[in-house]
Amino acid sequence: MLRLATLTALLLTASASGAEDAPINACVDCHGDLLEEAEADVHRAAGFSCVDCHGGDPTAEDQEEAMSPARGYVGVPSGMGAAEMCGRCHSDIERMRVINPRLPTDQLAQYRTSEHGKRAVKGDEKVATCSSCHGAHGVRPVGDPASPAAPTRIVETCTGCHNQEYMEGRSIPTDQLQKYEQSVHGHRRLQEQDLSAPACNDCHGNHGAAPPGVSAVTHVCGSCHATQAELFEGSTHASHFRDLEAPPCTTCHNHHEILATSDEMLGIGERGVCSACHSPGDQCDEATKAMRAGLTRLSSSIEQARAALSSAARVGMDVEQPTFDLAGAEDALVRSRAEIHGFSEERLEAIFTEGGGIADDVEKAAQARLDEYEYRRKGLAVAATMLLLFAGLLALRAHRLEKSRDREDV
Amino acid sequence: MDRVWAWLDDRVGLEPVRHLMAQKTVPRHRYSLFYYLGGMALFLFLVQLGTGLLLLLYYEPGASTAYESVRRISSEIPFGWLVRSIHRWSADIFIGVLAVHMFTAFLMKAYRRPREVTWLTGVALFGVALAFGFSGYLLPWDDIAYFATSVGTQVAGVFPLVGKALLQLLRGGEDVTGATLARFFALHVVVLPFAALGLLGLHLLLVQRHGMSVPPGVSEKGRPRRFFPDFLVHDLVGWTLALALLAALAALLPAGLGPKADPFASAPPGIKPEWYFYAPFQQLKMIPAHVGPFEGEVLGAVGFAILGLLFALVPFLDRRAARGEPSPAFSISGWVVVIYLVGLTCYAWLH
Repeated sequence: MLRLATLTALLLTASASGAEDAPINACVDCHGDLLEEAEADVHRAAGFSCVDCHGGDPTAEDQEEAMSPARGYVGVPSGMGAAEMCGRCHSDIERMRVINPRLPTDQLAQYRTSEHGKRAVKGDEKVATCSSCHGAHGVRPVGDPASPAAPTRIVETCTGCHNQEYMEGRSIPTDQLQKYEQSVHGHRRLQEQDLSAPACNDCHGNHGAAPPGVSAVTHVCGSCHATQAELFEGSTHASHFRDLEAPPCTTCHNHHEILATSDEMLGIGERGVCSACHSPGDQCDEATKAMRAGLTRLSSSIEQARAALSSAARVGMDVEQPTFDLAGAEDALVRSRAEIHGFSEERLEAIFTEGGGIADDVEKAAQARLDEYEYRRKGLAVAATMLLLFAGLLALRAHRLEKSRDREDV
Repeated sequence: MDRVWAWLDDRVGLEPVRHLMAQKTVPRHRYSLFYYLGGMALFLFLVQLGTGLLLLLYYEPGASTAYESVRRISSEIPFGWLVRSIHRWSADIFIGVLAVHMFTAFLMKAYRRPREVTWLTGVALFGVALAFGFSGYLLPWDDIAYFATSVGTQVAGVFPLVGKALLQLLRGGEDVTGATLARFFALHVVVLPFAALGLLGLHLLLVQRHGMSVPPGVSEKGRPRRFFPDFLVHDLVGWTLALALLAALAALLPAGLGPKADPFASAPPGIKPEWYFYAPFQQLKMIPAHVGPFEGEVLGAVGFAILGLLFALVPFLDRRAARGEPSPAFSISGWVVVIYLVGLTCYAWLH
């Protein structure tokens, strides 16, 4: 109670700082410890004070009177109450249009649909509300790196609650962070500081955070991996997965612990992901063997072309054009790996043929340069032999001249 | 043949040439071998001239065309790679031979009276050769050429009083741009060739006039060798071997071409000028930012300029040599400078 009153006083004081007719704010008398935290608060900067959120009367000299419900005091609501307190302004389109028209106004509506919101409605007071992710008295813009909701801190903020200690007694998994750290996304995001790699909210949403349902997984993953999602949805596998109620992407690639893909994942081999549904010798086994063979063929063609280019470049030959051309084959390899999600042998074969053709042409071009180099070396050997022979003849002539001069001298 | 000669002599007056060929001799002593260096430098200059003219047929100056034309020369034009590589290697060897020629002339005191002007034209020719190398380096317009020229012209800008004007003159603006390329091209194919031919003509004329210098205190061995054909045949042996060496270098280590110059890209790591600028380059790198009241960079650049000037003026400084007396102080100083320059060059090459 006292803290809220202080904040009210603090914000009131701050908002009117310097003004001669500054309103009396008795909140700070008790809640002065919140001053530092509120220093960078966006609401304070916009002129809001303690009473705008918590109600009450900061001008009343008596504490009981200042914090009495009769004066509009609401205190510190928790759960849904807290969300609704923020939503009083943030869901008010008219008001937000004046204060900050760039902000959306559907946060509360989204929150009600989220797993957090649903639990809050049921009276769960431990569930995340607005202040859990944005802070309470030091709310900063999301773009501010110091904000808990900033892209650089969002994983830390989510796992601040989604851990074993906080979730004690609840039945939800708490190993998301460990799995995410192992994943290709987590490695990019946490180790390489690549903010384009997805964090928790990129898949689960922000204010409407919830685990994607089976039917939504493709759309969630497909928001980044659009080609793969489209190919999968157009494949025969899509309906089979629906029938089995198996989530499309995560069945093969896992969720949270999404490891870097490799060609070995294709099929029912040791590292193959198809063995969950398929058996050796079945149609999938045969098809994936052919696909793997095609991938290996194309990869090795590219490697051979690259090695030939490297050899030609090492001896000083110009390989810029074929090096540029090889990008076409490398692109085909990338496309073929995406095309696997469509499970169409015909389409894959067409890409393998296209990419393999380019790689073969590049290798021939590189070989032609190496042949040219050999031709130059042979030409050099012939020219050098002739020049040395000529030099020898000249030296012989010089020697004879020398001898004849010596005889003349005698 | 005699009738053709007589016909030409009647109309052109070839008798002085015949007389020169018959009379010209070369002294024989234990240092006679160094007399071949001048002829070798002349041969390499002619190779430069010939290959340069061939490259001119396809080279297109301009920031948007130079690089592409050099790439075309190296990869599409028949034997373009050979001509360009020989031009490149020949330039390196030419400057090396010139340097040795100049240093041996210095040690043999060939600058003493009456050969002071011969010496001055020789030093000027060496300066022109360095300018050829510096200006030619930019012409392929690849990244190394671009950034090396940026650094090189920057050094010109540190000279007191004239530095800024010199920098503007060289670059044609604040930075190395297409305007710089145009200037360097004009310098490389018009100004310097004219200067070189003029100086070379004067140098050769004076050599014919005064003959070869015999070092003081060195006794001649027997009768001087006739220049034609005796000495020339020996020259031809060396030139043929040089040609074989150039062909081998061109085929085994062809002239490379880096990525196209991009003024907005960062300079490639380990950027260095041509080997003959290693010594001043390394000196400027090693000198502290401030030496007493002077800026290190200015001191280094001015120091090298003074060294060059002293070297050019040595015929007027070495009075003992002018009187035909031994001048060991100059010889020792020369050795010290050469060891210093070679040491700096080796250090820059290894690092």
